[in-house]
Amino acid sequence: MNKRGRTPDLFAADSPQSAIRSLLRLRFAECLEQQHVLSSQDDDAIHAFRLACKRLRYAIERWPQELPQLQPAAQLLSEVTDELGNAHDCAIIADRAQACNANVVGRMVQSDSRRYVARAIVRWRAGFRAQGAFAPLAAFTAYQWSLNGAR
Amino acid sequence: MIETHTLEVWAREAISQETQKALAALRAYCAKPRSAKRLHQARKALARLRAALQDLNELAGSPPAFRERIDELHRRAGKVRDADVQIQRIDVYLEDADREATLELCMLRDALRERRAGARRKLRRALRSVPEIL
Repeated sequence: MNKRGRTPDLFAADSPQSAIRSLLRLRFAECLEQQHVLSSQDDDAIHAFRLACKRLRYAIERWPQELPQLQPAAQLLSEVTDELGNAHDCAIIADRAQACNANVVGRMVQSDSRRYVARAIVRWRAGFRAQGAFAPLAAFTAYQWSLNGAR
Repeated sequence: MIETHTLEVWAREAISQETQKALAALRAYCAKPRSAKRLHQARKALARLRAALQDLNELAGSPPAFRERIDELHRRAGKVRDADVQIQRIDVYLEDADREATLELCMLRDALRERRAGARRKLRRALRSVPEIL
């Protein structure tokens, strides 16, 4: 699990536009690489995925003039990371509760954490629908996928 | 060669913009250090600056000490922010809690308040090492 993300090599870029493209391609790849953890119960791995989404979102939001078509993707990433942030807060409270034998609270908060992750999954998947918020991002970073029965 | 120079200038400008925003947010926080909202704004600005450094510093070449200082401020602000958010969440749970849960929640909240006080002290110390803010 990589919480920090990779350092991009942008020296090969021949312009700021191509540097932005390389950077977003890397940051999007990091999200795609880790997305499977959403269906796990591994709070640390889910938190690492959240940080990867934040790195991608910050990179998109840094250049609003150059990337107007990608701002809906940034908005969707913001919604995903908000849900996962709530899940993370609950997971930490659950850990603290467990450490001091506050079992009633521990169970309650753990259950809320799962609920927030489920909501994040719904938001994340919405981005991959045909015409979803990630479609322009995929086009910009030259990723392609086909989903059977995608609507 | 010309392209590399252009990229370097472009990367430095992007980092400089994020640095100015982070300094402004930190100054606002220092003027009202009990404000959870201002702390949140400062932490968000630090997170964006940190991300810009990670993304562009290979090109821009800012000194490693600068990046380390930003990392530390972000981490310290994060500890206070996490405690703020968790205390707020516990307060919400308390609204509908039964007797047993209330006892547990109050115990957790007290522990978090203590943790937050310590985290605030450490953040204040870290901020003193950034004269540009004061």
